[in-house]
Amino acid sequence: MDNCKKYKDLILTNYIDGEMDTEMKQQVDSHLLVCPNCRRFAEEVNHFLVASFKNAVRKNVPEHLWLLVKENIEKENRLNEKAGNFIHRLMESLSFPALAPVLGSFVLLILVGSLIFYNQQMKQGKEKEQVEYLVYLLGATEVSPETENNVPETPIEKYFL
Amino acid sequence: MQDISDDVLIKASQGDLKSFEELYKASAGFVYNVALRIVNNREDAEEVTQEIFFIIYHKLKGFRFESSFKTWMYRITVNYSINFAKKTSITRNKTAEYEDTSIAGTVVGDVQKGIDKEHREKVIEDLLNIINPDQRACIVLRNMEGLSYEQIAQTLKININTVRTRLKRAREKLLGVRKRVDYGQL
Repeated sequence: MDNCKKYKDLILTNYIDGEMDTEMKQQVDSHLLVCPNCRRFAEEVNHFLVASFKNAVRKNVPEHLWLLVKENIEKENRLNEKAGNFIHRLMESLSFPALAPVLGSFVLLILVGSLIFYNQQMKQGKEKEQVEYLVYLLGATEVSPETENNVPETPIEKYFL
Repeated sequence: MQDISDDVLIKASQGDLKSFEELYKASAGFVYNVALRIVNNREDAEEVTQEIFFIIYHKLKGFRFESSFKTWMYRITVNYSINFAKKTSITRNKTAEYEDTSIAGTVVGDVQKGIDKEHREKVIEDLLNIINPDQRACIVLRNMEGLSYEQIAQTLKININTVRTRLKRAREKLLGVRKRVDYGQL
């Protein structure tokens, strides 16, 4: 009985699929000659599981399928082309020859602007410094009101005060 | 599947639509029939076939010509079909029980009496519905497309023993339906 189980497993796979070496196949064949139970099983498997699938009709591919496949591909190609064109145009507009005058003007503008700004800053700084310096000078020679009012400077002032 | 020349493959991989059409004509029969048996529904098979060729068109650009184109194509076809079938298996399972009983009575009769082709096709469709998509792929590749265990293993990127186990379990399940009929349990 155990032997039959082993043979039935083999019949169900390697034997009916022809995936068995000659020696093994001879062993199974010999068993089938003496075991009606396994022989019936092999016939059933062959008839029911192999022949029915093997005889299945191969279906024709519906003709419209290629048109659908082609349509999908062409549609995607068109989209890719559009996307590609857009990127190309973008790259072209950003490419050096076209960009040079724009970039040049931009850089020049920044340079001039920064030069003007720098000069103004310098001018303002110098003026401030000059003013501060003058204030400092004036401050140094200036007479305080207290001194001016209370301390007699000239002989007349001295006389009267 | 018909042989496809390297020239056609190279041109198709460069985006040449004419060459891709040649490739399609040579392989559409295989792709459609395998997809049809695995997803087990005509409308789904058409959708799957379209998708597979769309994938092939794109992936062909990166195809390494040192590996077999056939195996590569088999793999894309079977894997995409299995995944599609698994996604739709929830709805399928709902009808499977009904079909299980509905076919059970006809299987023996059809095979023995040799009823018309159309009816036999329906039986095959129902039988394939009983097994899961992985098992279905093995049965289709072995019994319908005639691939060897090794070729199936290469296509599905699985061990030969796994191929054997899947075939064995699928066939046991299918035989179970027949036995239930024989013993009048259904």
